[in-house]
Amino acid sequence: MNIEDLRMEWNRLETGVDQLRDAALLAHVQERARDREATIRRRDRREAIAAGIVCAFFLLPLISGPWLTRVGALVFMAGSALAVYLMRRARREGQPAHRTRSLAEALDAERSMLEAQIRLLQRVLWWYGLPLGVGIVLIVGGSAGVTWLTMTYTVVVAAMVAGIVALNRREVRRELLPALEELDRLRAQLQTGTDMDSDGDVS
Amino acid sequence: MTDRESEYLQLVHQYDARIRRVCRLYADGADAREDLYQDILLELWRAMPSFAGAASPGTWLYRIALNTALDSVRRRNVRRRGEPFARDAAHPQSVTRPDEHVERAQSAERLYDAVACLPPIDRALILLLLEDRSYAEIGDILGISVSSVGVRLHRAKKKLREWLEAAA
Repeated sequence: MNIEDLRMEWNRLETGVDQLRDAALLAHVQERARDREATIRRRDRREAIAAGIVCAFFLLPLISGPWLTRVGALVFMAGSALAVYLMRRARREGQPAHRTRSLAEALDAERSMLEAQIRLLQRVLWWYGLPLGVGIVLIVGGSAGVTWLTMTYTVVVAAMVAGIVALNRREVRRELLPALEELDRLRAQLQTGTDMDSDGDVS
Repeated sequence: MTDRESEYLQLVHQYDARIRRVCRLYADGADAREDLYQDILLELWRAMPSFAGAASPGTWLYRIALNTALDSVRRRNVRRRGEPFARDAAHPQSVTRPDEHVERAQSAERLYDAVACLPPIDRALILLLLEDRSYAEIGDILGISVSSVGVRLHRAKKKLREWLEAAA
């Protein structure tokens, strides 16, 4: 069977689906595009509001609390701002690879995005857990002094931070690393025509 | 109707059958195909501002369609991780061989089945070849050299021919 025969067969494939009328098609596509943009705007707005609430809440201890509480409030507020900034930056860098790029470029862009997300989640202790955890413990310690309450509170906060770190690492292990492997598999197929198995060996 | 809207509709009408064929190759089942089709239409709409500067509408459209389709394949394979791979896992020996479909399939369907069993990148190569794209255009869409397109197509065609002959 030569390629012309195959082309003839190929063009015989029936799609078997009615097209939407023009107006309906446009309305549908535009609505989905608007929904997607609205979702992103809502998420950004929620984060900004949460950061604003945190700042407002800790403003009073920052101004009038004991010095240790002030340091804690400052650390907590700075930590919140850092978390919002890093998450927004990761999303900006993580815009889906522009679909009009060649497949190889799109796969590379997607890989860079995934690597950035993985790095961010693997370091969640440093940019999220520690600043917020230390900040809140200092606020309580500064107000209550070194008491059983403060020590219990510290243990609870440490357990919560450990939980957050574990959840993020699980996300990396279960979702992001497999996605990275899948990308590498496609990249290997594209570059060399070979497949990589799960150990990274080629066949 | 704005210029963007009329250009978009013209493009969709002109390339609709080709977009549908991409969907048939990269999605299992009618619902998944329709979802992928809708996703491609959405991506085309979002990319419309770059359409005016595109050297070739065909290349521009195939890039968007294939990038969207392969994105869906990747997500599906990650979701299916741990399960026995379906056809997109690029292990032809582990998937249903096209010759098993033959008796119930028409010849065009048989061709579709065979192409759909190829690994995702080979599938894209054969799809573009059957859509009458030149080697240079295929290279441009996939981001590989023309010589690489030739080598890769040779292998993919050989595999496809073997399957089709075994099925015949």
